[in-house]
Amino acid sequence: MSNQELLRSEMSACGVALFDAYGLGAQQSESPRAGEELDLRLAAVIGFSGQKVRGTLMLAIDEGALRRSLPPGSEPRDWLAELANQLLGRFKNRLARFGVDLTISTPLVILGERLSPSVRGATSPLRWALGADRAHAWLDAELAPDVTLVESKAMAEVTAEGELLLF
Amino acid sequence: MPKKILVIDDSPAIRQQVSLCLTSNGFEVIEAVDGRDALEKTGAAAMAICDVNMPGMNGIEFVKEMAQRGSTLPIVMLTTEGRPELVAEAKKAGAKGWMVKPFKPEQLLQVVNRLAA
Repeated sequence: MSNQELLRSEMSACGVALFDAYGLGAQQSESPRAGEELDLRLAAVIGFSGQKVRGTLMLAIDEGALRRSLPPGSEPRDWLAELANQLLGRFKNRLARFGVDLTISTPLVILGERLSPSVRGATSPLRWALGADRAHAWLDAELAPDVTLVESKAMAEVTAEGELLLF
Repeated sequence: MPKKILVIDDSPAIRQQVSLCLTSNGFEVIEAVDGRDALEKTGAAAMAICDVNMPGMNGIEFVKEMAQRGSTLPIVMLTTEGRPELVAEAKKAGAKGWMVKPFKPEQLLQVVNRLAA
């Protein structure tokens, strides 16, 4: 598996876990076909960088799924930003097992009609099925040329999502 | 009189989620958008729930600043971060706990009931 395939695979697994945690019953799904119209209206974008990696994540979720997971009193745009932040947070924790650290920027939410991201290398988005709804993520990640992603048990002591430590 | 919990997070959605969980269980919530904002609101708080990565003053800087001021306010970190070196840094600075988002409401309440004495 190439570095890029591994990154996509990790992000895909992170999405399933995150959406499941909010009761959306996520399943990995095939990427959209070339030219398929996605009708995106709300998307969150976050950048990330570190010594070995840099890039951007864009997350779009169908309104139905966004509203199903929306905490009472929250705005959909704020919630989408938080979901993007948590998705990238999970990704960061997964990459820590490979000795890759990254810093996450503040999410930016874009509202519009037929949003159409243009990603380097024409990377197809990741897609998750959330019942009748869908989520898409564009991961534009660039690893330093000398980096080989090898999982290390010594680096696996990351506190898991949902876990509580008391000191 | 309800105990006041200081909720520090730059995400409005998380502040809302935590606030709802606490206010519906008899606590009063004071919200702050980052560590610097929180420093001005600690007076009446019985404990703080604090994000780590925030613009301005981040969560660990807030814990350190509180310790430097001699504060005994219990602070529990609530974050997407799970790296052991950050957990250790927060612990050393004086934080009382570390929760990785998404939080479980019953777990949050358990911690607040225990620490907001």
